[in-house]
Amino acid sequence: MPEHLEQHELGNGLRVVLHEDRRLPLAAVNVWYHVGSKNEETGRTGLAHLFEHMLFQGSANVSENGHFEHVQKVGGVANGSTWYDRTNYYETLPANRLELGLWLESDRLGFLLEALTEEKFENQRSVVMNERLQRVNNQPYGLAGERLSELLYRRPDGTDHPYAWPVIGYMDDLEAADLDGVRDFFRTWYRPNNAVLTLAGDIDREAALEQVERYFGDLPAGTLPPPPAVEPAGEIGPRGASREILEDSIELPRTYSAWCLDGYGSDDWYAGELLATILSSGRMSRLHRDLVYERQIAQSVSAVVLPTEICATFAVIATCQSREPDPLANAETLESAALEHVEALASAGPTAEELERARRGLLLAHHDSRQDLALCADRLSCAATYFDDPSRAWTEPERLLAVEADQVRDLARRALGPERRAAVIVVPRT
Amino acid sequence: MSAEGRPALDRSRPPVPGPGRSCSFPGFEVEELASGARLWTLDVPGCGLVTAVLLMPGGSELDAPGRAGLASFTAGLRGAGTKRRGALEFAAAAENLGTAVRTSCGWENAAVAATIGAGDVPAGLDLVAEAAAEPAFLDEEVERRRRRRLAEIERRRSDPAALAGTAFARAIYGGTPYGHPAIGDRGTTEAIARDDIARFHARALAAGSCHLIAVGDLGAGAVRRAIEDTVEPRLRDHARSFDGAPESLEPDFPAPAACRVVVVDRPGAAQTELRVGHSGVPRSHPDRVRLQVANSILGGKFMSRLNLTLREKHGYTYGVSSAFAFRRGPGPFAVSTAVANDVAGAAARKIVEEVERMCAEPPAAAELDDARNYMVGVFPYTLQTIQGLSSRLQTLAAFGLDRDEYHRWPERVRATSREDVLEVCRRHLFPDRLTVVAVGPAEDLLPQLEGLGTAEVQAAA
Repeated sequence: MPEHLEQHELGNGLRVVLHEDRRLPLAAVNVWYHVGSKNEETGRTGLAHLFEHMLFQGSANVSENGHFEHVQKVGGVANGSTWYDRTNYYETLPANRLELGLWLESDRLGFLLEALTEEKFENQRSVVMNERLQRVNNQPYGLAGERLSELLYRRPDGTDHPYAWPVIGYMDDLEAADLDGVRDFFRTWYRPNNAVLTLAGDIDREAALEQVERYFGDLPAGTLPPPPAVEPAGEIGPRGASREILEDSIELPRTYSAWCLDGYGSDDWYAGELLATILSSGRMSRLHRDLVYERQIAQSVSAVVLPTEICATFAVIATCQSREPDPLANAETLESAALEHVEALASAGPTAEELERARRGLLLAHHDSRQDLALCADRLSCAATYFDDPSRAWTEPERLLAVEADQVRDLARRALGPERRAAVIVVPRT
Repeated sequence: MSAEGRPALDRSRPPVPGPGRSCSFPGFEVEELASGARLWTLDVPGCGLVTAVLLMPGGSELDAPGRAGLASFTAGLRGAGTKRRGALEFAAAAENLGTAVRTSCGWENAAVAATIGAGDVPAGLDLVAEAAAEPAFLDEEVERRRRRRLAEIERRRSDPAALAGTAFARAIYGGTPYGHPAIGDRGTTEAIARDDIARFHARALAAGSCHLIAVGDLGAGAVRRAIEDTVEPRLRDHARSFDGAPESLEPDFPAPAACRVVVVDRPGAAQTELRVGHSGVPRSHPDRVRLQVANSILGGKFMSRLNLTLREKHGYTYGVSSAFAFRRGPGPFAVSTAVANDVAGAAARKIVEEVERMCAEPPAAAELDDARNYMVGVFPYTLQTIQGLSSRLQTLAAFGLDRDEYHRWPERVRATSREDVLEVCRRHLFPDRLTVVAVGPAEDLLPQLEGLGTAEVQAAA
């Protein structure tokens, strides 16, 4: 373990990561619960995220809205977020208020249910439905990502892989959600042995650990359900061509292609990160240079690999520069042009110069991101949750720099072929 | 581990804090270079990075009628081909350092910036200076950029937030500089000629009005030497001050005598974007800090009155916020939110009520305390990164504020009283002269907004 970083485990299974960084009088508290939308069931989607909202509605000793009130009145910031594999909650506080964060986080982990009411639930359901309207339904292209995941992760037998549905959930499921479902969800997943607590910043590690023991040590462990049984990444994806055309209130047609790779932390995932960088990061990247700059058929391009746990979506997204004369034809031309670049990398791999440029960019970006304490705490929780090794948050660049050209080529060849590609094209509503 | 020797844990109340460590804005230096440009340096030893920004005249406030978008059009072309190398060659030089040279354009200034490894400072600064001082504006690059800007203007026609911002600015500022979107419109974008751009740039490149801001791991004199080698030679021939700033940025028509409603019709839209506000105050206004405190109470944080009412009490929205956009002239005061279509009228009325309440009575002592503590407490949070520090220095430079603005800011926040809040609200908030912009299905919205003010309906496109 590097200097100033340590991991402990309490008797109830709570893992505690401590990272000392005394530059500013700030302390970051970051909790990861290893539960997200992938632990939901078809027909009850959106529960993990709706639940995240309920965790800000008070607990036995914290009033409704008391969480934000306590944090903001002392000059701290707080929030939470839900992802496919995890839900995180975090506060950044003046360093002398670290204990306030422990009090708040332990109260809602240990004593939430007694404060849950139907009224709070109805209010937050309405807030979340508005969140969905704002981020999805009233957002240009908002539904395309959802449809893409469904095409990629719906199995031939009609069942859904756990990444098939959106984290925020479907509107019908949000309407059908009830308070009992929320209670069950809490009892099942919100246990110290399913959590990582990271404290980072201007902290005394010994004293901090003692306080963690005091606030969290007596919260009971639970029995966790087994992880969902899923097929290997290589078996995920449509069989043969699967492309849908969506109409939306948009002006510029857009094309999405997606494939499935091994999950975050695997060798393939890191190769995928390099591949995505070489395809679309910076003006010299292949897609940008050819489609945006030279041919001027794209307004924007991006290639991404999502950091998900059990497998990972690799997506290539390109937006047309014009809808004229024929939106669909423009989108298809752009789609083929983007795929040709994926194929070119599959056949010859990246050049040494491209690889070096991508490495330098990723390294600088990692270095840059180390300045933000809350982000560091989140990465430590992430590495402890997935790999039981917080120091992997710091060694991420080494894994990226170790990727060689032939790994990038082999990955493109093996995993990004036409036979497992899911695709969506969005055209203006006529 | 045990808690022996300590009292049993009392979970019923929040823990009592120990003494806090204070934190103030770090020291920095400003000096005038031979070219007349000001050099701002703030050393953050050991961070391994440097962020360098060349701030120059040429903000969107200079866009002339009929040439809306000229400032940002010009800014975006800096670095897209220079007198030394083509656009791709230039991009490759930056990316080989792991970075990108970023150009931007605000209302007051344009900027060229890069974050670089401390070991690459000379090469990085060279690129920043080359982009800022030696753009080529080749016809081919101008046309390329024009096409992308036209496509972006197209895209915005279906973006509810962009539509709301544009309609709100136009309603408040009309034909004055803040009334136009910085990107311009189709007509002006097509009309801007290569010569307009070259002339605009030549005017803006006035070293006496430029600021070079370097924050990070500066090393002993290394950055200073690199500036002498890379930036100064390019600025020396332009040693004059910029004198083309517009004389007035005030709206050219009086604020409406009553509230008014502008509905931007998007039939079938799933949600309604709302903007409520009016013209505000300039950045340099002596009330600026007291107004920030007042705004924090109204809509500047999660626990603000607006968010507690609209989100936590009524569930109308995912979130709502308010802000004074402090610019050289009176930028807008605006409340922004997105709400379900069937509650848009109710939400707009609640917003008006909350603005009225700010002007009717002073905040409760505890409410003010919470706001002041929040603002002062999160201040160090904004000082974590070299980019965050740089952005503060850029504000000082762009607005000519006192150099100790941020050193004194916490004490000014703490000194703001309940009476001050009421006074500045009464002076700068006008609940009876608000403009309400609603972007959504007019058919649903008009009946709900009836009675709020005179209504006008615009087509979305």
